[in-house]
Amino acid sequence: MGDYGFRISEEGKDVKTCEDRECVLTSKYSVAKGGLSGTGNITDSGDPAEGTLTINHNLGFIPVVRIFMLVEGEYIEIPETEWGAGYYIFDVYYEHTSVNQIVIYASLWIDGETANLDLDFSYYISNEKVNI
Amino acid sequence: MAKDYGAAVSQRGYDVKTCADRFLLYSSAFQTLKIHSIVKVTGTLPITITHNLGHFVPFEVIAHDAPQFAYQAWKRIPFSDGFFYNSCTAKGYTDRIVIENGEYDPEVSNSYTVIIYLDNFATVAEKDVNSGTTLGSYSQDYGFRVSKPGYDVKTCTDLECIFSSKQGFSEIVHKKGINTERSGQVNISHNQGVPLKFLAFQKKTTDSFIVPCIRRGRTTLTFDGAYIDSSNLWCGVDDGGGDFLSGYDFYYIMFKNRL
Repeated sequence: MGDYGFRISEEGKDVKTCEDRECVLTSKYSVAKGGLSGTGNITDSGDPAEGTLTINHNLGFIPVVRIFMLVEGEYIEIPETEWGAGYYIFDVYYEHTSVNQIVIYASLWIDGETANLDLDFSYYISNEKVNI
Repeated sequence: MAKDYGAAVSQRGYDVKTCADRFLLYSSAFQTLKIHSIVKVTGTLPITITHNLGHFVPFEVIAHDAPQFAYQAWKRIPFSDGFFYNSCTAKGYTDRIVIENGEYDPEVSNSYTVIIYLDNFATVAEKDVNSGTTLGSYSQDYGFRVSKPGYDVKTCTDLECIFSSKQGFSEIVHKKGINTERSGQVNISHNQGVPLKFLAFQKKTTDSFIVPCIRRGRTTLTFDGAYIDSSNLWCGVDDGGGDFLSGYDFYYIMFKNRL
């Protein structure tokens, strides 16, 4: 990069001499761009209980996405894996079904019982392309 | 703004000097997460991507069409096949990122997109916004933008910009740092009254790398990994039996964005 552009330093740092990482913003480096965000829900009852949540972002490329799920009052990032042991299996993951759409899948199986699924999700989709 | 200096761009119709932070397209009062590089690599694991930044950095790894999980293309790493130990993980050293397979999985050839951020985990204390918890974005034809090298800033797409006030920023740092209590599960307060988007990594004190702090594999429903509520970020490493292991440091970033 040449000696042009602009930078804004952190409080207490000299903008002329500080490291790039000590800038709150510098035109030398790109920053993760904003995009879509939203919430959704999957509910079902059965053996197993299962459902999907479709997010149409229509960006035309595979974006950086982070999806969080509300479990017992706490948000965790979807680990894209199965949980459970023994008598129950809880499965949740998401997939980019196209360059315009993401689908979240969830299912809950409880041995010998009707399972009830009621999950809230919060997602952030950045206008940052990963299928480079 | 916390101070009477810096830079800010407000949405149309809002006075940049007096409006609430959520009506700002950009504010230098808050740190952004800067992208050092985004690279795509293909090969058989393990794969190493060198960055030579000399410090631990936040990173994200997304696998393309992982053969083990053909139904889950573009998977974020780490992911698991259902067992406690990850089937695929990524380790962040101070000079490189290494993507590895789990010990039970065959070697596979695959492609990965790796996002490496420039920033370290040096402490940024929480900064309250004066109203709301997110910075807004606005789609009108004003504001400011800086193109990537080789692109005409007047005609290029937003994707070709280093940043653009039209899109706002997705990674506005509320608070970041390293927790070194090493006492098992730890809680890190954020005091925003709403759950925030976050990134968390864990480092065993005897290791020289960090890995994403995220729930791993098929466990009981204890809170392995990191999770957040309206007051705290919780980080812990489950021993597989419901107890939390001690001897871990946690590297974290909490963003302004609410969940």
